[in-house]
Amino acid sequence: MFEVNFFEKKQKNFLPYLMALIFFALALTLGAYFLLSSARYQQLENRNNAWLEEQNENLAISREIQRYQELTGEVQATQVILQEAQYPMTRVLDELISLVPNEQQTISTFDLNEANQVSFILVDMTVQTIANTMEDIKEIPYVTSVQMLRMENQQSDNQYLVEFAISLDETALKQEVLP
Amino acid sequence: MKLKWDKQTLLLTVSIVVILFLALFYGHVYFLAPKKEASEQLAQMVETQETVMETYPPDESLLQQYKDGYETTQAFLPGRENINEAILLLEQTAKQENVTLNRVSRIGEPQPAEGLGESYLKSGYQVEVSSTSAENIRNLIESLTDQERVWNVPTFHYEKYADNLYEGIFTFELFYHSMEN
Repeated sequence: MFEVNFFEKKQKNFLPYLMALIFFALALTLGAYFLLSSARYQQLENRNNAWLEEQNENLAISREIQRYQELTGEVQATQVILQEAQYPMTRVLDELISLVPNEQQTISTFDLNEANQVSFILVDMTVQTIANTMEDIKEIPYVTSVQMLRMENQQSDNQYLVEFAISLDETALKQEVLP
Repeated sequence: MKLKWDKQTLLLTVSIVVILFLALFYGHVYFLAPKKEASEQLAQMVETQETVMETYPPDESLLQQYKDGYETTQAFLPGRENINEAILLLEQTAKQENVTLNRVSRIGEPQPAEGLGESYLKSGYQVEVSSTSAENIRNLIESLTDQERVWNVPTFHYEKYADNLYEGIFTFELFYHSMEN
């Protein structure tokens, strides 16, 4: 007796099927990972949204308090800036006019414009007084120049009318005023 | 059972790896990342709001206190021009200093105050006055510039017309803000 085997049985390769199985398992794991991660983020979002809704009224009050506090702080800081930037008109008037002798009688015109130019028209001044006054005004730290524009004899007792033009340095002036 | 690495199996394995990698990558980029970002942004916002609530406890009486504090600033830097109060003050002060108020006129439209941002404005006015002495007019200006609300007086002119007649012209600027909206 002998066995005759005409067709050799081929052995099936199961590796591809194994790979496919591994693929599905990994795909499922990946899917589960995405779903669970997504659900976690969603849960966090829901929790935060719930908190915001719950605290809505309290938050409105807190934000309003914050707004008033910031407004107040900003306004107070601005007030300081405005005070420092305020033109020291009184200081200029007091200082310049105090150097003019008998100002009630002698100052005919005073003018201070936005370009920090001062002009005086003084009357009933002697030449010596004019010279002294010019010298005194020049001594003021924020005065950059003093010019005599005209001097006219008033036809009485060596009295003259004089017109001065004075330039001021606003920066130096404000520095004088700052505490 | 036979497990053999043939060409077909190799190709299948490479395809599987590529597909899984692409799924992981694009899944993160287009699915998870936006959700993560939205969640983190919301969490950040909640954290910020918690800090606000901690710093400013939601108490009605505290709110009123801060409101009152802000109201006090209206006296020196109001949320509106308040020219009505200003001209009342001008008239009262002029009376106190024996100065006659002849004319008050506005100079142009309100302008942004320099160096303070667009929410701060200034209005300019010109005032014509007369008095029996220049000192009275200077005292008026001094009183105005000493107010809690800043009156900026950048120009001044006066002229003597007679022994007891002086006329003066000065300009003043008032500042206010519009931050309440």
